[in-house]
Amino acid sequence: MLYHDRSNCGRLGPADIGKTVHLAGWVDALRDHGDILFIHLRDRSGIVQLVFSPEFTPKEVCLQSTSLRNEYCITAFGQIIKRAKGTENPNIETGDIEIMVTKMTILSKSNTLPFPISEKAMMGSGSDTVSREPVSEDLRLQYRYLDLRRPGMQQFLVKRHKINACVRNFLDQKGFIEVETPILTKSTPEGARDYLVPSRVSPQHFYALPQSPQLFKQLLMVAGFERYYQITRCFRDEDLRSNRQPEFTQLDLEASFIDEEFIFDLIEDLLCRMFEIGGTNLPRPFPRMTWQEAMDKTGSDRPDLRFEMHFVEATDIFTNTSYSIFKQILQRGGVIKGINVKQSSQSLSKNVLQNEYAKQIVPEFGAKGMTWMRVTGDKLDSNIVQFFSNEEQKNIIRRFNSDDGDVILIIADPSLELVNSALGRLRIHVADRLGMIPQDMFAPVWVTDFPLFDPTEEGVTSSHHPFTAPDRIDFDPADSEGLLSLLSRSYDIVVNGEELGGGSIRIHDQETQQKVFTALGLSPEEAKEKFGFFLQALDFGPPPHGGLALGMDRVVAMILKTPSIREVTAFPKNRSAFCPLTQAPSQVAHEQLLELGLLDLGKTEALPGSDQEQETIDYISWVSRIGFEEKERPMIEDALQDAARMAAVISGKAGEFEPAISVSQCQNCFRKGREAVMSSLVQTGDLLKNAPSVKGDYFKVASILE
Amino acid sequence: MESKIFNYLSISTQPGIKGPMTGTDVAVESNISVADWPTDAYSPALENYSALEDATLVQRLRNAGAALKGQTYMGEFGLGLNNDTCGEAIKRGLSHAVLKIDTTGEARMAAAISGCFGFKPSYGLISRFGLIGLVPSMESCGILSSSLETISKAVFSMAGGDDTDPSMNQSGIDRAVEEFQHQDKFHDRPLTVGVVKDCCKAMDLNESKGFEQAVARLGKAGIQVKQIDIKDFALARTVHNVIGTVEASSSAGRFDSVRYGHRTGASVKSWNDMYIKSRGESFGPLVKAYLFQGGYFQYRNYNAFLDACRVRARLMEDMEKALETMDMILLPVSENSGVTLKKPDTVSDFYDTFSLTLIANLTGNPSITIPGPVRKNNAGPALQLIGKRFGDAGLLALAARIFDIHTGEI
Repeated sequence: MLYHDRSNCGRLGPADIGKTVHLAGWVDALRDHGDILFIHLRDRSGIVQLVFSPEFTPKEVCLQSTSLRNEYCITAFGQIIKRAKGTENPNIETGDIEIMVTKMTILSKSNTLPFPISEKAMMGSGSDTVSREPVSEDLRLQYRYLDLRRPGMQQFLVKRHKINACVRNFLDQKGFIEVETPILTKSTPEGARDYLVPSRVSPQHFYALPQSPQLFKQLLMVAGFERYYQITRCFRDEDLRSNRQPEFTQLDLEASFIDEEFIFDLIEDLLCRMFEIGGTNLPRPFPRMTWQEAMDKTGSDRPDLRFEMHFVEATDIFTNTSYSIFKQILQRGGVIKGINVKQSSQSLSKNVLQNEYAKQIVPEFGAKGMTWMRVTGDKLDSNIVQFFSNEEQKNIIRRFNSDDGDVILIIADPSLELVNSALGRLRIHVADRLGMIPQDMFAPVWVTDFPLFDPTEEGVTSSHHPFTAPDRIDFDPADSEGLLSLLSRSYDIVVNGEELGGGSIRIHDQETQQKVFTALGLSPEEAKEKFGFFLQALDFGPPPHGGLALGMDRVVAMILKTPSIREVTAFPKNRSAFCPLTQAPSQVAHEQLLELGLLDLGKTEALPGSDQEQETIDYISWVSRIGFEEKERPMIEDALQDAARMAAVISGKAGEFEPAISVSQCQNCFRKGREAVMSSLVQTGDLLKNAPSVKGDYFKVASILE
Repeated sequence: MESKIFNYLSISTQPGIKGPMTGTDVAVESNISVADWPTDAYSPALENYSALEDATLVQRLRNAGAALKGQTYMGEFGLGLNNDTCGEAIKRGLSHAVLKIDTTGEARMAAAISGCFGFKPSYGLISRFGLIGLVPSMESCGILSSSLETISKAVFSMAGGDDTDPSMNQSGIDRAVEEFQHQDKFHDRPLTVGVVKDCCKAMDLNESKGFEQAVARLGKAGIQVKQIDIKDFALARTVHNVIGTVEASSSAGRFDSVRYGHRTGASVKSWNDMYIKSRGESFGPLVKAYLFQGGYFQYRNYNAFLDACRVRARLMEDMEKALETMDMILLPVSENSGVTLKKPDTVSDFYDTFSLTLIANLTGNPSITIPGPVRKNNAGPALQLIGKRFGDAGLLALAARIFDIHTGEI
């Protein structure tokens, strides 16, 4: 059959009335009226109603139509007519017309479906979509090809395609070149856990799948491409959270001879175009916040700016307080910060504040407690307000800018980090609970000026990665205090409290790069071992450069307002990093492992008892669980040599004989015809009498696990 | 004075029962269980262990009226004879009989040294339940006594099936017990003994002059002497060493410092660590070397163990065939008339002592050593006789005749 004259179901309309069309697709739904059969025929473009009636459909086609079931793949010919008045279906775009079928062929049949696919009701009345039982996600993923037949799911991927096309188009216009970088690459010690791929050619050596093309894109700058981008897959072997996949798509870009402003301008322009595909207009320019400001105001480096409720610093109000809890915290150098939940005293009753927030929710955020005050008139009302002086109360009201009906929540702790993180989570929790977060709003923000280093027990570590440029280069790599005050030239793009991407201006001179490695505690030799190929490139005239990576799955999910990135991924893994469709990961054949040299991996490891390379004496000491002192070693080694000599003497001496284990046949005198009875020695407890260590009725031994 | 001979003396030696062994004192070593006696096999591996119940053979001796005298000294797990006092106890008349586990020839050798009879019964005739040995397929309860009659009575009392010993042979036991009731028939029938050709040379020993003279005396006394050829005789020592160490390594697994024995005082971080340290401290150097050899055959060269078991099978067959045409096999106990004993430093030293006696342990035959004639200046060589499997009564009866000839009574 030829399809060159095929029409698309969803594109037909009243203008086509009278035409005879050729359609092909799937049976989305059926309605049988005895003689007359209506079906919804679905193809990628949409749905149109076909009618089989003895009035205009040949008898054999009518007969054949009775065997149609959901998701049969068919092709049909027929004439477009206007539907009778009152039978229009506003749920589908072609609801004003239908097709009088004259020819029909079943192209292939479908088994009974594991879950319903049809989304559109056939009747005009009632709800516009078919109500359906929720389907388990694993079942959807197992039959993903059926799940993806649903128009809603198809639209997600179509939109994703359009967003990708928009990105490519835009970056092309801006002079960016798409270059592919390797998927089989080198494991680097930084970052998350790598996915490893064994090499057959070099047994027991491994490639790593890239966590990002970071070093390659910088090398492309050294290579002089000036502007590069790639929509590429990255891999991280991390414990999965709800919105993470082991492999994810990243828009990776890098440019030379640019500064932060170039990136901000480029990405704002790009994001606006991308969000437009989802029908959202983002206001430009995006606001900017330094990391310090974000932390001070929201306690998070991913501030959700859809609502205000910024932190209020209140430590100084309580300098001379007599409230003993605050007093003790301040004596330990602590801080007191709070938020004003505007006009919420109706929703936040004393009971909710004290029994839910102060006793349960806030302790879960890590803080020891929470102080709450309701503003009634110009007074504070709380279970502890009597401990505050009048002046303190006045200052609180003024500082928190509070009015009648507000609720002030305060967290105090010796640790600033703890106050910020607990109050930050409290801020989100309260705003969410009280519906204070506008749902259709998008609030982008650039977060900048991150610390270059984070403190660790041994010194410092990079907060971003070791190639990020510092805000100044006159630092002393040995001064860890000074290092912690350095800021980086990095930036994150955050929308609605979610980090969509980030990047930085990179270090482009060898000297600064070495200083950063020194600060990180990497000797030149270690740095060379880990990043040698990259450091060498920095010796050949690298241009100043910087870039950014966007998490495309998250961006697309946000643009399309889907609850999960799995909805915008054609074939995702489930939350256990398992693919229910292909059953990956799976075991492999012994031969494959053999070929890859993976069967005896670990042989050279000093595993007790499994190491064939171990000295015989140490091996036997382990398997026999008999220790020995060094002074006994020569004597035992002599005995072992003697044993080897004896083995040679005896070898093959009486090959024709069956080995005699004993001179008399062993009798199974313990089992046969004898009932198991408890030994009287157990009953009397005598069995424990000779034990070196006993606890109750048990022999006491050392712990089995180390 | 007795404390130098006895490691432990029974508080009450009063026998409760009248029987064939009433009036006979029997001592044991500390690897034969007597209820409530300290039973440590002279090893830290059984530190502070006291037996929970009697060995089956001890129970049978008690039932026959014997009095349990005490324990004589021994070496760790009976490996080597340097610490032994069993022979002295007999020599000094402190006990009528001493029981000693015979795995390589220990009971017979100890008897030969001290000038008394040492008997190793057929394997599978006397229950081993309650014996704490290391080499289960070789060991039998040996008996030292200056009286063959006492030995016969003791064997007859102890012999018999036992549900708690899986290696008993009931038809052999029946045959042996029957023969004990007709020991008279061996008194004056014609005798044929076999002498293993080049037996000393096979073991790298000097030909024993005393042994040749003894054989000549037997011939003169009308006993037919036949040369026999046991082709694996030279391998017997190696076979015993390989199999013995493997069995020891395996059966020493029970000394885990959990149910009994020494537990290390060192701090341990795991259960494996507890084993390694406790067991490392529990075994003396000779036992440890013996166990490491066993570990080598078990974990590194198991084929050597199977090869040894094959040679053992052929030895058993050759021995049985040879004994079809003769009453017993005659062997020296050692190359010299007496045995000089030093503390064995190595497993090889230990086997040096027993190279001529261990074959009976490999094949399960009964064997007895009879002391040499006591002359003015030097004692004649002890002789070793090996009898048919379960022909214990006959061997003991014939031993009396050989003893008479050997010591010049006839």
